[in-house]
Order: sequence, then structure tokens, then C-alpha cells
Amino acid sequence: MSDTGTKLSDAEIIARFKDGDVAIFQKLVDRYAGRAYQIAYGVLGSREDAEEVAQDVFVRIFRSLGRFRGDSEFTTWMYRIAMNLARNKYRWNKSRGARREISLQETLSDDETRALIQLAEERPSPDLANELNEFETNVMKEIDNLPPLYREALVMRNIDEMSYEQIAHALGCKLGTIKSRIARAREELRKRLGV
Amino acid sequence: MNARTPRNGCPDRVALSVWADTGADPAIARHVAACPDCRMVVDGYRSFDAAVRRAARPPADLADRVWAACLSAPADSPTIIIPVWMHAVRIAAAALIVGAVTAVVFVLGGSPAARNPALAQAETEGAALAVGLARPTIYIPFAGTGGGYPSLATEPIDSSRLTRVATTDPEAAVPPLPVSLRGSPVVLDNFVHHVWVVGDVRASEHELLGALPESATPLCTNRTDRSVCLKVILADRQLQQLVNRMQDAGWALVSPGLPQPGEESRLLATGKDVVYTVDLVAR
Repeated sequence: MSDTGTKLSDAEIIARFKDGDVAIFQKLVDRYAGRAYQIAYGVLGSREDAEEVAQDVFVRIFRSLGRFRGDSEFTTWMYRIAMNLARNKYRWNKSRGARREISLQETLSDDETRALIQLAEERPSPDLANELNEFETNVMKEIDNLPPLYREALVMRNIDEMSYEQIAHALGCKLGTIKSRIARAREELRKRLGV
Repeated sequence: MNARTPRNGCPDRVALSVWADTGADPAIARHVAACPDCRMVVDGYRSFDAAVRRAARPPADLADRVWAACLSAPADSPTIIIPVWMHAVRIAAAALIVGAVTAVVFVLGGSPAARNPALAQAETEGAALAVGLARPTIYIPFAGTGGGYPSLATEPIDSSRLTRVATTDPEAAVPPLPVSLRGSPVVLDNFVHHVWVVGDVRASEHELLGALPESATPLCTNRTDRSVCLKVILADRQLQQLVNRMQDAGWALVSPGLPQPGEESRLLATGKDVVYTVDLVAR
């Protein structure tokens, strides 16, 4: 089974996994699950959805790591998967109307009642609301309202300290495009929050 | 990086944003130190960054739950890609064969089961096995989920069917290996899925947990149909020993994939870790 004492590189962990040491995959999970979560959280703005995406990311990697050729860094590969799954989830949430507004005047069908219950469940829990101050809550709300292309770049920069080059590579964009998107996202936040 | 807005000498916002992240341009650093407007902008950027980082902190036990999800996920099984037109050809061929067999049976004097009621029961039992064996099969030099032998465990568990298979003829569920693979020990796949038919699911679950090595950290799922799914990572040798022990306890293994009880010679043990999924189904 896996040893726990030495600090292995990602490439060494992957090599050992390919040699049959399945349990060593847990080291990659310990190292990067939080990052996958943060990327997803930045895109989705929901803790539950972010955790679901983080789990999905690593389940997929767990299944396909044996076929990972190492053409790019493991982290770049993981970021791409996380971003794509988070985008898919975001589109899915949008298409099923998770964020739609329901008029108070309307008579509610059973489906709509369920949708309302779900909307209520998706609000931050009281504990979480207490944990974040008003400014942080407003920042997250306004980030959620940014155009997706701006939001993704800003989130990758902010929550994971990714370099501009890494973000450009992960999102398949030019470096200048990423710099511009991040700057525009920040300017939008400044305007909306009056900072 | 050095882009400036000509009118007031301040860096443009892209340059300022990049500088806020990298601090790489000494000229912008000097400007920001002297310009209250730019300092306010940069402070704003940094306050957003701090807020986002704090809001996006992952839960403390996230990694444990993600790892558990990895172990709980069903393993990939080999996929045979069959063109749509092939399905039509196969259905047509099957229909022709069924028609021809039916015609022959009737020409020769009707169904044997119709002549002998005792045979009707046997035919029903046989049909249950046939359902499991009629699927397309693929042989690859690995054993485990979907490997080594054709996998019969790709559908939801139907305990009544499993019980019937196990109590009629367990060996009948295992099609013979191709001649080219017979006698060659195989390396286990990373994932092995076994279905065991047991007398008492709860008692068997406890017995199984007690039989695991101390270092093993199993995950158990109790299903609504009262079957139990347990996942654990074991070295291939340990898995073979465990399977032997389960057989000794009187349980019936209905999955054909290696390792099989008492068949150590067919396993090329390398000490590799295997994710072992066990379904315990009541008899």
C-alpha cells in the first residue's frame, strides 16, 4: 500500500497509481480537492453544487488517470475538468430555472412549490451568513452576476493563486485576453459595489 | 504592463490589475505609492480578492468525502461500440433463429415442456440463466469488473435472479475461457466487483468486516432492497485470501470475475491494490 512519509510529486503519484497503487490516489485528492471545489464555487456560487462538482472531478480523474499521458501538468488537466464540469452545472442550473423569479401573484403548481422550496434551500445557511460579513456576501453576489467569462478568470486568479499563464492555458485563451478579463471583472465589481 | 492613460499619467486598469497581482513593475509601484486614486483602486481589487478567498474556503472534511465518492463510484467497464445498423442486423438474426427453432420444435411434435410438466420448471430456470449469458461478451487479459470473463454484473442487482442462478448451477453462469487464455494466470484489474449470495445479510456484513485486514478502511452502503454494498482497497493477495474465506463461510459467489475461491493458480499476484466492491444479497 502507499507510504505516507515522503512528499511525492504529482508525476510520482500518477506513476505509482499506474503501477497499481490505487490507494495513493488519495494523496491527489488531499492535495487538490479544495482547489476543484474553489473553482466550482467561483463559477456556481453554491457550496453544495461546488462539492458535487469537486466529487465528480475526482471520480472522473480516478477512472481515467491510468490513461493520463502527462502531456500537460496534472493541475492544468484537473483545472480544465473542474472548469468544464462547473460550466456544465451552471448551464444545467440555468436551464432548469434554479434562479428564475416567481411572481407573488401567481397561483403555484406543485412543481413551482417544489422550485420555491429548492430556492429556499439554496440560500446560504444562517451559519454561513454569519461567517461571512456583509461585504463578502455582497462581493460573492456581484461576482455571481458578472458575465461568465469574466467571472471564471477572476475566480481562478483569486482563489487559487493561478498565474495568468496557467489561467490562459486552462481556459484556452491568450494571455492578454485573460489580463483584460480579470481587469474588467474587477472594474465591474468596483462599480457595482461602489468601492 | 507599462500602458499609461496619457491624460493623467495613471496606468490603465489592465496594467493596474496585473500589477496588483504580480507587483512586477517598479514604475507602477512608485506611481501607486504616490497616487491616492490608483491606491484606492488597487485596495479595492485586493479587498475583492480577500473576500472571494474567504467565501470560497472548502469544508474541512471535503477531501474525505471526495475520496469516499471515488471509492463508491462504479468502475468503468470495457465498452464495445456497435454501429446502429449492427443492432438491427442482430435483432433480425435473432428473430430468424427463434422462428426457425420454434418451427422445428412444432414440426417434431410440440414443446417438450408441454409434453412433460416437470420440464417446464427447468426451462424457466434455464431462461433466467440465458438472460444473463445472451449479452455480447468481450475477452481481455485482465480479470475484475468486466474483465477476464464476460461481466454479468453491469445491471442493477436482481436478487431473485441471482439466487436462482446460484442455487441451480453456479458454474453454469461462467462461460468457458477461450482456449488461448486458458491456464494463463492473469493480473487483476484495478476494480473487482463480486456479488455474493448469503443467508443473513447483516450477519455476513459483520463477518466480512471482521475478516478484513486491520489497515483496510471499508465503505458500506445499505440499500433499500436490504442488500449491502461494501467497498474496500486490498492487495490482490489479500483479496484472494478474503474470497477463499468467504467461500469457507458458505456464501455463494455468483460473479465470474477473478479472483475465484480456491483458484489462486489463475491469479498473477503482484501485490497491487485493487478496489474491491462486494454486494451481499440475501438468498
